Formats: sequence, structure tokens, C-alpha cells
Amino acid sequence: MNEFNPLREESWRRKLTPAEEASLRAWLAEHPEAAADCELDQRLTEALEKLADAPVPSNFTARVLQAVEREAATDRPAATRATWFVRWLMPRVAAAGVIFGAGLLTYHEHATARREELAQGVKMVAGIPSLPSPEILQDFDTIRQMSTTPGPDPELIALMK
Amino acid sequence: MPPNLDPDAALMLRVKQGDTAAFTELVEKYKQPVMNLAYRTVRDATEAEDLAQNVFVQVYKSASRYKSTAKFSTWLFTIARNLCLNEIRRRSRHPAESIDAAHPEQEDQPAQQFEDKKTFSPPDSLLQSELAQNIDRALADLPENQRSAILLCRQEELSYEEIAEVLGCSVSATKSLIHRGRETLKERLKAYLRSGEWKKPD
Repeated sequence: MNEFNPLREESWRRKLTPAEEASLRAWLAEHPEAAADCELDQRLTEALEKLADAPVPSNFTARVLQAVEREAATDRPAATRATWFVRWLMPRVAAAGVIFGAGLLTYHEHATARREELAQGVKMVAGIPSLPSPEILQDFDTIRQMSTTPGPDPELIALMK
Repeated sequence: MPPNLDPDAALMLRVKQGDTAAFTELVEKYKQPVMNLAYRTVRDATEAEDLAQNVFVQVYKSASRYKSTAKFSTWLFTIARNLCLNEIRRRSRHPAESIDAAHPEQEDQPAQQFEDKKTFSPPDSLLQSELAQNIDRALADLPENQRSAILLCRQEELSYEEIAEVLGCSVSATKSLIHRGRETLKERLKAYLRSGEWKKPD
């Protein structure tokens, strides 16, 4: 049986070579009890070989190519959108991002410089001595009028000497 | 390109580059065996044609995933069998109903019979002999894996290792499937096979 099975299995999928057929016949000669089943098995193989092929339309290949073309056309808009996105939109988005980033950086620098100016100003004001109280301003008008009167006459002063 | 590259694999590498002529050549070579597998799965010529076309469309769409180390026919029949299995599952979820349901005014008429799912209606070209009809019916009644194994076994370019790869099982399991399927066929067709009917010219 060890010699028979591999040959039988090969006979299922292809025609045996003359040498293989000779081996099979030799084995069957030694095992006549298996001859009937082997014969039936061989007839089934031949009947399966005679099984008619399924009908294939003459335009089968053309219709396959048409179906492939339809699939490609369906996928093309998505591919076009993807191409547009990669080639047109993305560089512009990237450039806009760079410009925005530069603007943001510039604003940040300006804001920082302005804060420093303010800080310097506060520092200056903080260094000024404290102002006198408002009471000193109560004779402000009198003092101001006194300052508008004409100054001393130098010739008169010289005569008085 | 390796010197010992399978010719079909070489064609498929060209298909990956968009070579339509190479794809056409592969379709022409394999349309018959793919159609045979599809036809004996769905048992309807029109649906088998659609199924077979979808197989090749899937081959084209999946070209980028094809590796030249794999034998093209194994890859092709794996796709074909998977689509056949999908169709079987789809049919089991949506069984066909007869469109000729009896109308209320025809109550005295015999009830329309629903289509027998196992009824095999091959085109006239295949009705060449009673044995051929019986073989087709017996094949149709086999479990899918046994039927597919026997049909793939008819493709001489496929070794048992490659058939096992298509079926997704071991070589010994594949041979067991074929053996069991053939034993069932022999039992059902014994009378025809012994009578020699199959030897008569068509």
C-alpha cells in the first residue's frame, strides 16, 4: 500500500509516466484484491477529465479590462484630490505657517521690548524722591503774582549806596 | 529579475508596473480554469461569469501586493476560492426566492415550487451525456472544500503543496479531502462508471 498510495495520488492530478504505470501494474499484480477499486478510481479520474469546461464568453477578457478601467476611474477623483492636496495646498499651508510663525515671533519680540521700556520707566519713577505735600501749594497764586512783579532797579540800588 | 522566475510571475511583475498587455495575457491563460471553479461553485453561468471577472479585477487591484516569490497560479486560485467562499456565504444569508409566486386568483393551480438550491441548471452545451449531468450533480452535492480540492486537482500546474496553500490546510489534509470526495463520487456514480457509459463519444 505504501507504494500504491503515492502513485494513486499522483494519478489524481496528472497522467502517470510509463515508468509509474509499470510500477502500478506490478503492484496490482501482487495485490489483485485492490484491482477492482483501482479500476473504478481510474475510471472516475478519466470521467472527471472529460468534464466539460464551463462556457467562457468570447468577450470575457474585454469585459474584465472594462471593469478594471471603471475601477480605476472610480479611484481617480480620490487620487486627484490627494495629488492636489500634496502638490498645491500643502506647500501654501506650509508657507503660510512660516509667515505666521515669523509674525508671531516678531510680535513677541516687540511686546518683550515694550515691556522692558515700561519696566525702565517704572524704575526711573521709582528713583525720584517723594513729592512734598499739597499744602505748600496753598499760597501758590500769591507766590506766582509776586514772581510777575518787576525786579529791583539796579540804578536805584546804586544811588542808595 | 531572477533567471528562474515563473513566467506568470514575470508577467505579474509587469502588471505591477501598469502593463495592460501582460495582464491581458494572464487573463487569457487563466480565464477557463477560473471560470470552471466559479461555475461549479455558483452553478449559474451568468453569476459565474461575474464572479470570474471579479477575480481578475481583484488580481489587478492587488497587483502591488503580489510577491514574485509566490507562484502566480497559487495566488490567483487563492483569490478565486476566497471570492467563491464569499459568494457562498452571501447566498446562505440571502437565499434566493422564486419570482413566480402563486397569485391569489390562481388558488386552484399547483403551488409554485421554490427553487431548489441544489438544482443544477447547466447550459445546454454541457448537457452532453447523462454521466456528465450526474457527475456535475454529484460534484455540486459535495462539501465545498472537497469539491474545490477535486477541481483544483484537475489543474495540472498545481502541486499538492500549492493546492494545500489555496485551501489553507496541510498537504495530508488536502489529500484526505480529495480522497473522501472521490470516494463519495465513486459511490454515487458506480453504476455509470462500471457500465462504461462515460467512454462513449459525446
